[in-house]
Formats: sequence, structure tokens, C-alpha cells
Amino acid sequence: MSIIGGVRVSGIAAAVPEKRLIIDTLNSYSTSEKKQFIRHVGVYEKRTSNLKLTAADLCLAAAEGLLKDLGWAPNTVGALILVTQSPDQILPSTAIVLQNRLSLNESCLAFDINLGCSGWVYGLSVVGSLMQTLGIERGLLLTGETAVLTNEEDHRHFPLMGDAGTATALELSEDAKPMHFQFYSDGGRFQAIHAPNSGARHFANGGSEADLKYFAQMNADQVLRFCLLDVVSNIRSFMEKHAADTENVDHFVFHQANKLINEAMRKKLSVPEKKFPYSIGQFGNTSSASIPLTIVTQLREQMASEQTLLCSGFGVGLSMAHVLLKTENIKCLPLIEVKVPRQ
Amino acid sequence: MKRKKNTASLIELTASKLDPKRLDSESLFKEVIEWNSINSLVLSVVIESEYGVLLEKEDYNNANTISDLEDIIRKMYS
Repeated sequence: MSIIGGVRVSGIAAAVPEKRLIIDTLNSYSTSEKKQFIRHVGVYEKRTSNLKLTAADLCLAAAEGLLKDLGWAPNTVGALILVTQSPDQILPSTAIVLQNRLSLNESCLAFDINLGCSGWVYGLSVVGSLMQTLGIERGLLLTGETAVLTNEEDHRHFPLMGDAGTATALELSEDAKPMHFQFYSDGGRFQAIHAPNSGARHFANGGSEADLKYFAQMNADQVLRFCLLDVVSNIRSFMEKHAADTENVDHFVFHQANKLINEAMRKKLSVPEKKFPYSIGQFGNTSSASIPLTIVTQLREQMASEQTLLCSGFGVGLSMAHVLLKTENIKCLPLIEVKVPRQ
Repeated sequence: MKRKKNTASLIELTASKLDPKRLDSESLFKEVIEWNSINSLVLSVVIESEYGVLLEKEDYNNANTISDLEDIIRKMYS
């Protein structure tokens, strides 16, 4: 049934680079190209990092802020999972490095999960179930991305992808309402969004073509079909299964894929605009960070009271996951801005 | 063509979203609209929400006019 009980979300924090990239100021884009992008894709600015400030650094800032605000001593955290597709290095898992940087105990379990758009929901299920099964009192889920796999020359992809890092605190609690999950993976369509030469199968070994294939590519037709048909019908079945509807769910927090696609999905699911928050305009598509970033920037005040959230992550994989969360008194920190060091 | 009730014509829909210079059923839509990946995505989304069919790159390659697109959509129903 994909239910996790006895674990609650206690707090959420998000960190972004201070540096803004205003889409309208991109010199290598034509005026009409920028106008169309802002109007339809819905991103007018995004936060942008450099190689000196990685997803792990942004997650670290979010985690430090969150631990402090919750009053959690670092040595009380027993699980640390980082979801990212831009780790500091392939080996070792960046989460292990962060165990040390956050001064967590050496008895803390730590590893990375390689997921993108669906990653926060998957991460929540992994951290929650590990904590429950192993009796770990407190855990941290970090999700973050910097656009290192995005080619600046790619006018479709580059302006869309933003940088952010988030931290979500979970703790065992007998009173916690159950979290209901639904998952979906379709490796048959893995090439819909992929970075062909980013791993061992087609290891980039020089040459401009190999270099170019290092970057992520997207098949827009396949992605659109996936979102409008597969994701929408999967969410419908999830809602039916749990008797969730547009009345009894307070907010539908979706991965911020692209405003055009998200709006089409919202209309198909008949979700009212006021229940469908967006952060894409200011931050772009921040992959696995997009759901917690949207909660922090758009729903922060409401999170202090009881809320029913339907969160859905969908995209690269192709992969998706939804969670129905009844939350209470989630501590949501104001957005943290991190200075971008000089290169 | 199977359509939801009270729907606008494909020409009206296209005009409302894509600011063409001028548009009628025989216009070469890839010339009157700045034809690029964003605008083709916009058109696909509009067509899907109005007619319930999802056109792909190949469909646009096979069409020159709005009337050709309407034929393709019609065939998807037959």
C-alpha cells in the first residue's frame, strides 16, 4: 500500500545562490526568443551558481539553518540522504562528505540517491522508511541541484534550469499521520531526458561531440506526452485510491517542470489556481529541490497550521512519485541566500 | 472533428497563444509563427487540451497549413 506511519516532517529549509540571472538580460538570445520563453515557459529569473558553490554547499546551508532553528544537536541525526544529479564527485557519495561537514555522528547512515525531478518524494519515502524500520529518531533529507549538466549554448534547457539546495527534517512521532506514496518508473523511455556521456556506458573521452554529449538532452515530445498523459492519469488514480480531491487537499505542490506543462496538468486535474503554487518564475526548474523550494517560498506561513498536501515529482527517468501528506506545525525557514564565491 | 463543446477554432486558438502576423486556414503556419521548440510545444499543449490529441514533431513536419493540421487531428480520430 506504500504507507509510512510514525514519521513526521518537522521542518523544511531551502538555500539558493544570491546571484540572479534575469532571463531578459541574456545577450545571446533574440528579443522574441526571450519574450516567448518568459511568457510560455514561465521563468523570468533564476538563481545561478558556479563551480565554487555546489548543490552540496547549498544543501549544507539549508541543513545548518534548519538544525539550528529546530534546536537539533547534530549528533542526534541518524540518517542523511542526499538526492542529486550534480554530486561533488561520483565517488564517494557526497552525503558522506556532508556527514562530516555537518558534524553528524559517525554512526549516521549516509548515501546519495541519483534522481532528479521525482527525487524529493522518493527521498521522503527512503528516509522515512529507513527511520521507521531501523528505529532512527531523526533524519535529514537533502535535495539539490546545480546546472552542471546543462550546456550554456542550449537555448531550450539553459534558461530553464535553476540552482537550489534544500533540507527536510524528519522525526519519529507516534502521532504522525501516515504518508501515502505512489511510485512509477519507466526505463524504456530513459532517453527522453538524459546526459548520454555522463557515466560509464559512454564515457566521454575527448572530442567535441563527446563533450557535447556530456550535457543533458531532452526530447520535448516525449516529456510532454509523459506529463500530460502518464503523470496526469497516475495522479488521478492516486487521488481516487486515497479519496483525495480538489476540496480536501489544501495545496498541490508539483515539481516545477515548465509553466506551460504544469498549467496544462493543473487544468486537466481541475485544480484551482490558488491551490497550485509556483516558484518557477523566480527560480526556474530546480529538479529535486523544486517541491521543498516551492513550499518554503510560497507556503511558508501556512505550514505552521495543519495542511493536506499532495506533492508530485515527475521527470527524468522517466520517473515519478506522489505523496499525500497531512502535516502539522512544519517549521519552514525563510529562504536562505548564499554568496557565490569568485571563481 | 470531435471537439469539446464551445471550443474555439484551431485558428483562434493558435492566434490567441502565438501572436501570428496573420493567420487563416491556408497560412503556412511555420512562416507566420516564429517556428521553434517553444512555439511547437505551445501549439501541442493547446491542441491537446482542446482536441485531446497529442501531435509530435513528425506531425508538424508533415503539415504546412492550419488546414493540414486539422486533417491530421481528424485522422487521429478515425
